[in-house]
Amino acid sequence: MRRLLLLAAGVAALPLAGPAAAHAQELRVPTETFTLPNGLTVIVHEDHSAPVAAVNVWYHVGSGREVEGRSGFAHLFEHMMFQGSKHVGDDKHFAFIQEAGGTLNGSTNADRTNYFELVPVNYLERVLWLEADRMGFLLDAMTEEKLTNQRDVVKNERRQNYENRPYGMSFIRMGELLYPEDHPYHWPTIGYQEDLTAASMEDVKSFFRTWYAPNNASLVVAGDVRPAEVRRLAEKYFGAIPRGEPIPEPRPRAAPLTADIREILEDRVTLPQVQIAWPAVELWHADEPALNMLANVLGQGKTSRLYERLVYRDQAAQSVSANHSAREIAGAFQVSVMAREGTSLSQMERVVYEEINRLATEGPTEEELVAAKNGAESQFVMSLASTLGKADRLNSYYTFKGKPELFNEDLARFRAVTADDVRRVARTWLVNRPHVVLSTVPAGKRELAAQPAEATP
Amino acid sequence: MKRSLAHHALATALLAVAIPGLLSAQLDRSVPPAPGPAPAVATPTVVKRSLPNGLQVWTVTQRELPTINAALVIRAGSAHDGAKAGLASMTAGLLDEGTASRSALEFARAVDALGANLGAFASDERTMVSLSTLKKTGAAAFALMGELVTRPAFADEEIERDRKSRLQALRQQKDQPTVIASRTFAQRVYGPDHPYGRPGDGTVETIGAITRDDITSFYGSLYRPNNAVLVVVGDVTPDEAMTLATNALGSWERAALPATAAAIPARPAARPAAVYLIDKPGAAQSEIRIGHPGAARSTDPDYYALQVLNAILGGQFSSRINMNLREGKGYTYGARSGWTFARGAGPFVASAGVFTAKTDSSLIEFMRELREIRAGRPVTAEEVAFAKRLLVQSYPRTIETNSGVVSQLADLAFFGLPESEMTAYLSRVQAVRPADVTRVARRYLQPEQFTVVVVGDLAQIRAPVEALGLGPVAVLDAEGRPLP
Repeated sequence: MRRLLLLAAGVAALPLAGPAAAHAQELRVPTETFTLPNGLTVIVHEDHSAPVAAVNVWYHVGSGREVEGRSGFAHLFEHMMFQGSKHVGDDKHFAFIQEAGGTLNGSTNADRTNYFELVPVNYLERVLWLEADRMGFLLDAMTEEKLTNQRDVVKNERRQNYENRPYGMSFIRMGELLYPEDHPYHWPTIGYQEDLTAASMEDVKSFFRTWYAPNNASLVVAGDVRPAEVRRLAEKYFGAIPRGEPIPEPRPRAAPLTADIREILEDRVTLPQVQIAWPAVELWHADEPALNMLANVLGQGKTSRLYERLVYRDQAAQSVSANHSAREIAGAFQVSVMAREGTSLSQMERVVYEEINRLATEGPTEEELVAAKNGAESQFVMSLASTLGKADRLNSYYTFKGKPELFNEDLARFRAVTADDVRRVARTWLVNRPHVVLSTVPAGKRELAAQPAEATP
Repeated sequence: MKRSLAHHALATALLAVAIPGLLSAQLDRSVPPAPGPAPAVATPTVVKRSLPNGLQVWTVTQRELPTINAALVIRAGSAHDGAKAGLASMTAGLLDEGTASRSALEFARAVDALGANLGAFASDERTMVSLSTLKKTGAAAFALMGELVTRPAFADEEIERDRKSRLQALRQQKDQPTVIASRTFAQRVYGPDHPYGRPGDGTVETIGAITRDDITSFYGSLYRPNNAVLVVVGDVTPDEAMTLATNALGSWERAALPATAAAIPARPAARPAAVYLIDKPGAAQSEIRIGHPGAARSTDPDYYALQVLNAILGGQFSSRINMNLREGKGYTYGARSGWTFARGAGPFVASAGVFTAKTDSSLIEFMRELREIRAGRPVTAEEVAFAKRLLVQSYPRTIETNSGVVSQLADLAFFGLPESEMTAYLSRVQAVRPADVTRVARRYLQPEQFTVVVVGDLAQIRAPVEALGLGPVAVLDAEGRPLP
């Protein structure tokens, strides 16, 4: 009880006293966490600044757990979760939240599936009723007709976001090249059309029974709520849902390459693009923060080295980007450059290596590092403005790290990065390491692809 | 207390396996929980002041986080471009590409060093300069905002650099069916010379021809404190906001505004129904746009009835259009409709990306929904009640964050509406009756005037679309020019 009272003030970012004050702020997102007998973990965060409640449910299953021939199923299943459960009725799930003035959605990635709602706080109980009904009673309302409909919707989602979108297929191809066939990140979360066609009612039932159990889920309730009331409602609606089979935690699984891979994709695009990717590290790996900072200094925003050189000074590229994507069991560092008409992708590729080598030798400047850290800190603080954003992050910390209140530990990792760290991770993970070079070129213009250095005159 | 609970947890775990049926028997899940009493919603208190140069400053103090969000709304948008399409966009884009005292890269470094976000963007009728910053860097961040607004360099070499990038981006637009569809739709509905018909990012010809004089004269005539409002929301008092505003924008000089500044674009003459097809060989989907000129932002009762109408028709997931084309037929990942309420009559448009083989079927369903809501299947009392609850009860959510409050207030400030409109809106929506919705559906939706644009695989879609008889069919190129 004592702990509760102390933390009841809600979110606050308090400047620390002393010399660190100018740089360090303590982020406070106090939580009360408990686990129901059926294994459902409930995390409550009180924030009385607005009369809203955010509900955010994570199921620790994503496309990475799919079986051969059923790619895309975790995401298709996510769609089925909105089709009405036993006590809710067909096509009513959305309407129940929307008439409350709320928003709702879900998303699937390789590691997890989440479902979230933001409603006026007086509708909290209704949202928990809805989430519990689909956690406990989805299959009672499942029909072949609903599956057929959502299979078509998801196929259209794939057409809209990948097949009909410039450069969309290169995203899918990069995953296939970067990870071996049996690695959970090899196939795309959206899936392959033929696998979506093959998805059956039997798949829906067994996927639900295996993965959608309370012991594989966590529920965050954040906003203008009281922990005791949330506990009462959680027990009322979720308490009777039976526990499922135990589920093993995924383990980090690096996917090192043994040699460089070069490939060319033709697409309906005007400008050629080169994507260069290296295997890197998973979430919470010690090198994750320095790799993120390296990506920032190298290719994020107008002050980054690749922007300054390729877009601003040489005016050879239309855009550049760099990012380190650390996921649950593996990660990748990727640089993308879109060349302007008349400039060479091979030249872009060489400049990328040059700039990485320079950072690996000289490291970032003090100014670059401070700016990257200040940016990280202010993004962190600003992300606390949204109740749903906080809720999702609490679930992420809990699911991947076993503890919801990790805001400060997370931020501290970024604050601690030194220029030497950035230099070291560039050498460890990028310089002279095997990588994938994927060129996307206008249809019929394979000659525009990036060529390996020895092949260019 | 906590410790003994933890001990109990193990024991209950074993029990729970045995008695779930018993527990669920006590709870009737078939009855949706009724909402509790509606929470009191604290409407943001807006303090309005002005600087001596005429700049209005609207401040809302919210101390939840040590951050400040701000937006400077300038009444200068692509509707003011005249024949030089892309001028407002280029002017806004160049603001942070160098100032009197800093080069483009120096300016970007100064913003990054603070960890702040600062940028300018022009839309149809306004330019927004947006800032978000931690409170501790507020003074420096506002100073940079002031520098960008009051002392842009518009250096020749930055103009040329920007031009090159824009020309390349324009050539790339033909890769994107969504962009081609929206540009062509605006051009065909309003005509290529109307402020709402011209493309905001210009054309290869207009961007190629814009001069530094065009930019400085656009800037000099419309970027004035008496043509702008500054909205500040966050961990800041009205006095502090005035100090920040004075230091940043106090030296900005007022001037008489040209007559064009306040001109409201006229409603174009009604056009008969027409269908335009643009070829995208091999496209997996067809991008559809259907509509005509809609309505202006006003506080006329029709405005609120149109909001209710669109919530039922295509404004949200459970709307008729989406429930039909997506959840019923599976033709699309999402279908929608919407009004763009502008100073003049912005467009009404219904849109979706649909599976190529279902292009004609999708058009049939779109037309069915657009016609039947006028006559044949008018809105029901239940639908209207649902839509009103949706619109009214979303209010607390829209003002949950500082950026949400900024965006609401910036919109009101732009239209010259008082902040009381935030709550007046709620009661005016409440007052809408089913008969009002049907009346505005009949008045503002005119199927015999619909312009239909489809970007897709012509070889597959042409004959089936022509067979629908929606109007004369013309094939255009990606720039909207007729092909033989």
